[in-house]
Amino acid sequence: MRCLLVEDYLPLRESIRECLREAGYVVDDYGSGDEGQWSAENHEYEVIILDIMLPEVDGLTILRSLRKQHDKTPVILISARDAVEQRVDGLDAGADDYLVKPFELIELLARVRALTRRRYDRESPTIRIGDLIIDSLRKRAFRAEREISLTRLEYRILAYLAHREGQVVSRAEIGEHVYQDHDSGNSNKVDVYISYLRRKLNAGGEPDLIQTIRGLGYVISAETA
Amino acid sequence: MKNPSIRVRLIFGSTLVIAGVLLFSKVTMYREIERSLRQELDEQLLHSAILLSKSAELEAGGVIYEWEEALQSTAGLGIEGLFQFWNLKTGTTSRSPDLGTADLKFFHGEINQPVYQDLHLANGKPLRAIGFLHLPFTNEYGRDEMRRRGNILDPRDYPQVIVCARETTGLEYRLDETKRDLLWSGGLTLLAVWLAILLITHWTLRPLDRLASSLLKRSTEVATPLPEIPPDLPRELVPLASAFRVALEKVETARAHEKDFAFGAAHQLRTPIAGIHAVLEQAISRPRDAETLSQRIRRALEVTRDMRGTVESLMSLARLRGGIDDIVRQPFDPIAVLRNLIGEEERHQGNRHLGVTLPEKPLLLIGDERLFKVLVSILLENAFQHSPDGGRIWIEASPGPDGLVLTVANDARSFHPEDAERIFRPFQRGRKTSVNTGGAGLGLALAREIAQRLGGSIELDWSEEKSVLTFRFELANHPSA
Repeated sequence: MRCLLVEDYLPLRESIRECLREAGYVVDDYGSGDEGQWSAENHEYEVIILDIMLPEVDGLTILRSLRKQHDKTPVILISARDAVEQRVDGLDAGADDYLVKPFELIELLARVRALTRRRYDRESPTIRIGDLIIDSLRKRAFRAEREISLTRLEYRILAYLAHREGQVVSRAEIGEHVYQDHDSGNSNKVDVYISYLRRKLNAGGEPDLIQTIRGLGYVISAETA
Repeated sequence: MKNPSIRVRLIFGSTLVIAGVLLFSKVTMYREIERSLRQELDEQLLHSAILLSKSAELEAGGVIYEWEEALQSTAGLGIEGLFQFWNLKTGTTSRSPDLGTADLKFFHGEINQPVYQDLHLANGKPLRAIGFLHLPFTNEYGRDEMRRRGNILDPRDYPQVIVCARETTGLEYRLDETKRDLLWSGGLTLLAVWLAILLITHWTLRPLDRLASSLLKRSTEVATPLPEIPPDLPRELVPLASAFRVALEKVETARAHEKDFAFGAAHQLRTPIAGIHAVLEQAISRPRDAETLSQRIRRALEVTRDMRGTVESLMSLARLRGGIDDIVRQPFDPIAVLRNLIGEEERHQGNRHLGVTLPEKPLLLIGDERLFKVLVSILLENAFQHSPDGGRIWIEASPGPDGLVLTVANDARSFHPEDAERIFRPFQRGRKTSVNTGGAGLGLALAREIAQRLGGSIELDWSEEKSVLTFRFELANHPSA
């Protein structure tokens, strides 16, 4: 899951970035509005966290520009502006959520999770695909009541595929959403990690949940098993 | 009177004036009509009396009243009204037939001097009467007759009195009618004036009502343009509306600045608090080693130091604006102060090409040295902070006509001319500057406040061609503050 964080106050940006990364998200973070806008327009994110008062281009301008381009990526605005009219302005500009500084990081995280779930039409933080259960709160996966030990990257790939259950996901998309560095998600790496995942998921002799669609990518579904 | 009404004032004022004018003109008109009618009546009476006097003819046998003969003819007398003759020689009297046996009042003036009186008949009807003492008329035929008879009579021995009268009921009725007409026309004139005033004021003040309602509507709307002055607003009210609009614009600007200040303050205080909170929350979110924890606590401390600077600047600004701190007036050498501060700033923030031009001789000024130091520090810090690495800074001080002129200029990659006023407002920075770049955006606001308290001024100049930003500070030797 990839998040974009645009906040120009360094201590806050660093803490949010660390918090999100520890929660299993891949984070791109920027301190200026124009860099943030460029990244938002050129990469795909699960959630965008946007400060309002930014140098160069302010957060509301970025948000309006994204919505004008029909970009539906969930956006959380974070701001020191706490007046009702300012919150209304933010939400009316197309924000999905608004958090007033100072806020609890765990609350921000919960809102990020909620928006991610909503984006993929999930009702609960726990994802079930056949006998596979993914607990996105605790970052753990179980199959047939057996806990599967996953590395951070394996978990990210599995969670991303699970969020898009039943859809064919290309290798490039997987790379885009799970690698910190946009350029490091090449096809071979993804294939290698998918094979690791398959091995761990099917260790009990269960049917394969991940199906390879030749030339297109991968799909995870209980029906493919 | 509190909030007097233009309509009411116009109505009352015009009523008083017009009623006065109307009363005077109507009374004058009435009196003229009355005088004219009465004069006409008096003339008619005089005419009748003269005609009648001609009918008293002195002949050999005495006075003959020819009007009695005329009454027998078909032509009649042709005289309206009542009359009565008195022959003072014989003591006899004769009456017009309409009088019957009643008598008119006997009165007269000097001979041939008619006098008038208002009388009443026995039945109470009012009369206007003329009393005329005259001598009987004689003609050639009568005088021949007297000579033939040898009985020459002298008219002076036969004085006659005629009292001729006419009823005035019709006249009085006509005068009453005239009075009523004049009263009605006066009342209607006043009513028409009221109506005209009401209509004109309503029509004239309607744009004002419209302006007021649009202003009222505007007061409930946020960030909408101020209503324009209606083109049909009376010319006399335009200066008032314009002044009001200017005042409103100033209030709105002040409110916008106040709002910006509140937002700025909220941002500058809430964001570091959010930073401290996030750093500490993240520090304890999971077990971490002592070194990592120590690093995070140090990070949080750095943020609190920044916040302390912001709060101190804010307090200084508030004290200066509130005039809480007294201005100390004592002699000091601003050139020595400048040299020290430039040296310090250079040591802390090197990597700039510095050009300094200061007078060689000391300069003595009377003023507040502490505030001067704060102001110069802000200008120097600003120049160092906002010039690029390896950029140039020029500092020049020279004795001014009334104190000191200091210019601090620096290379600046970009500057928006609209920022020239904005950067002097608290918490405001250039559009291209991060709100979290060094300090809280209070320095220049503080510098301008200090300059004003010291009786000086700060001006900014941006050369787009050279990409150089120049602050010019003029300090008066005898601060007025």
